[in-house]
Amino acid sequence: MSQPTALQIEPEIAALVGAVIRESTGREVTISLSDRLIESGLLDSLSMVNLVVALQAKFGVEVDIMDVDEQNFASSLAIAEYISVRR
Amino acid sequence: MMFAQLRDVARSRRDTVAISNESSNITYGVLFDRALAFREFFANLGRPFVLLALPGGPEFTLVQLAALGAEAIHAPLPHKSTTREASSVIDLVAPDVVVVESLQLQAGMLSALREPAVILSFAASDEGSKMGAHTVVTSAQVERGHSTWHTEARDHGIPAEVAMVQFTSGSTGSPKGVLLTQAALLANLAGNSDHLARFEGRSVFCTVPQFHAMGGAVVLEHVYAGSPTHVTNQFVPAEDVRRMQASDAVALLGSPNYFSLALRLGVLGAKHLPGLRSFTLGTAAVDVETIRQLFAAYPDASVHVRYGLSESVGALTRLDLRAGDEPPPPGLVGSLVGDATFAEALPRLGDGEPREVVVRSSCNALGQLISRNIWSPLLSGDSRNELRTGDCGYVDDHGRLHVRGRTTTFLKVNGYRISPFEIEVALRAYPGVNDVVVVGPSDPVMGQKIVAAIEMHVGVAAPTELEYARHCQAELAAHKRPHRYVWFEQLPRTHAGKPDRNRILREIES
Repeated sequence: MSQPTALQIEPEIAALVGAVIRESTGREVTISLSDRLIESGLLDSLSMVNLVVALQAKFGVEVDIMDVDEQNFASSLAIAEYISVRR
Repeated sequence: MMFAQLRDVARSRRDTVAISNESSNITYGVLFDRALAFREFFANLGRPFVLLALPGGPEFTLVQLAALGAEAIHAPLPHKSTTREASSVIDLVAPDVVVVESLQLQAGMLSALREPAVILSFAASDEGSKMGAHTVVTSAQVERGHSTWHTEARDHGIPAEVAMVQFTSGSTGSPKGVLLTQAALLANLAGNSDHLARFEGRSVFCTVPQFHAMGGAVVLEHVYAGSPTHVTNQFVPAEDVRRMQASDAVALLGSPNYFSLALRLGVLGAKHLPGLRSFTLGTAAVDVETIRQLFAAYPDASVHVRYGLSESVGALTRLDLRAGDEPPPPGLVGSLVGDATFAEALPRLGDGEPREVVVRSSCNALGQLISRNIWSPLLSGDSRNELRTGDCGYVDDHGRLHVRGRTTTFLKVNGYRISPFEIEVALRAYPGVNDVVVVGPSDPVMGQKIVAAIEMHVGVAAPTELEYARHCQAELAAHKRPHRYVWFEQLPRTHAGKPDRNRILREIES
């Protein structure tokens, strides 16, 4: 069976990002495809750390800290693309 | 004074990088040459009040140094301030010049301007733009020496010796503008010169925003000490690591929260950053575990803990640690820096009740702006040079200060000094809210958390957390937004009918 594509897992990632932000900051947010997570300040430092931990646990991938940058974490779709090639 | 000192530093390091951020860097030579053009621009306006709303880095520093050179008054403001936050500052002082990245990016902040101002934009695309009664000038026009604008700076009722205003949360919900002189800025450089000399010619990396009192102080300290200084405006771990690697950074400066998170992510350690030798943690309660982990990763490093306040430039005390030293007990913030002395004797450690820390220092602020054209002195004592810090503490046998909390209700969150009253004012503006009390239960990572206790008018349904969080997002900068909301049918109150903050805090903690 083929691995799900980035577009297929994006909704899961968006929900996870929203949950992490809620847990880390107390803010309720609904993440959409167009949200710029770092640029807009949605992902603050604590949310970023908790997101990396959550991604590793949920998708069983090793996130190299050197990959945690504006390109790979720009949006829920960018994160989905990053995760999908590492599963 | 400051400008002449910069010229001396720049002369011997013209081609060395002075400062960088995520998008650019600038050498000492170019920094000084460009600052000359901006200095002339400010000087032509008289003695303007310059609101500096740029991200930290080369352009921020360039404008700051030019303002100091022109004997203008400059005041840093977070470049992502909301309209409401900008309004609260503009309530205190009408800026003659507002410096922004672009008209578009900071449109909300600029909409708070009530009097005509010169808007200095660093976006080339803004050249020729119009904005109501304001005059729009681009940085490129300033550097070309093009000067068709003629605005006379207003009289702000600020003492002549004031060079900088550091905005800080006030106790009434409105910001206060702390008045700093060039003499205080210079005294801070002199008071730290021995410590800073260790970093001369070596790169340092600062993660505290430059608009923040500590971030602003440490950047100037290191730029003047001849250290290429690299600043970051957002937490993107891989980019921080790449920039530290590329610049061979030997020192990292940040809030305890930054270090705690960076350690959790594995950013720090020999794998990625073997060249780091010094860590400076500032402004908030320091977790002993963070210090232990730093020494475990870097056994040969030194760790420096700074304690300071917006009302005094730079650190009042510094604690210098090496691997093998006894772990510092909670509250130990080290020895006084520079010419600072305790103006009132503090009790010995553990001997009775702690007393308020009162400090004499050449770095102390002159006073604070409390409303338009009105300022009040901050210093007391016979020689009018004693600052009451609002913190309580003891001294130990080595003369080191142990802080034991505050005499006021300010919160310290991730190194930011935040007035709960400012947040309460913003939260009460939501329709149907009767009263709000903001408290700060302690948090091992952030120092304190911001928790809002909310009471609605009788019969009015509470908004959802999402609706209320959206309101906060529009009204408050990220570092001031509550981490948690708790709705009370009725807030606990004192006999006088005022919300009982202590009981509310206890209920939230339980």
